[in-house]
Amino acid sequence: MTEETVDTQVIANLVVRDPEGRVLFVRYDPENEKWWLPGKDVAPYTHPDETAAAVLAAVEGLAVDSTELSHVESFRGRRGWHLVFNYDVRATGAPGGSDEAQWFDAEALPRTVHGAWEKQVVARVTAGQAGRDHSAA
Amino acid sequence: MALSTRLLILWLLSEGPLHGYRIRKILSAPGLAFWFRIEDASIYSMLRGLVRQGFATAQEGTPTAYRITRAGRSELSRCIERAWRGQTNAKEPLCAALAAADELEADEIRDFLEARKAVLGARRAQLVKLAPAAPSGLLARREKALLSAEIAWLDAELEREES
Repeated sequence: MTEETVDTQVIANLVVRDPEGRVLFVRYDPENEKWWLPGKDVAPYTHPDETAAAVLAAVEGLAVDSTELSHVESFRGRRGWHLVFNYDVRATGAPGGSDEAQWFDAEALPRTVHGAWEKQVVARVTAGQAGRDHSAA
Repeated sequence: MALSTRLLILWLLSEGPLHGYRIRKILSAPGLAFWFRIEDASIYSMLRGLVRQGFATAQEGTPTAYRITRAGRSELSRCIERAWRGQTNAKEPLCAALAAADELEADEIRDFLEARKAVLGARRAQLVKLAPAAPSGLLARREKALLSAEIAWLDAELEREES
């Protein structure tokens, strides 16, 4: 029997919302006009919670009230198999830091790197499914 | 083929810089060949072409890292648009074989229709298995619709042969 190794990218992906219901997006590549939800690949032997905290720490001016795992997705991403830990984060503040970060109204989300996906994640997190639904995409 | 390779490479690079070997590895990942074909050998020549045309930059080093440029992002949008809006063309060898149908006797046509149906049936069974891991739902649903349509056509032809 042969064993197949799979490239799996484990990702901590954050839906950060402020009390007004706005959602935080970041521009990780200044040359790209499209936005990302704050997030990062989870390094080997690192807990996704730790990675989520590091992502938040990189956004200056943000006061985090709570961070909770919302749901986990597993699907074929652009660069390999993805295992995405989506977090529901409540925070306030004027975001800044080395990467451009901005609040967006939930009804007017910006153009994102992965098209409809970021909007689906935001919709699922804001629908209040936190901690209940861990089904595959 | 060139448009597919170009589109896929620019799409991968649009998420962030990648080494050539990594692009090759991603595009040869298990299960992907079911959805689209890409010639392994064409990846590096396409990357060089993209750099020459200003759609990517090659960061010297071992291995070389490729990064998409602003012009490359616009080119990706154009490639996607060309792929969506382009004329469909009947280039698969089967179309030529169908044109040459008068070479065949009725029983040979029937055998080929049955053989084709078996091939498509096997592909449809594989699709059901692979669909959850498809690169996108849109792609999986289109493939399923096309297979079902061709199988329905084969059934209609077989019925016609019988009557």
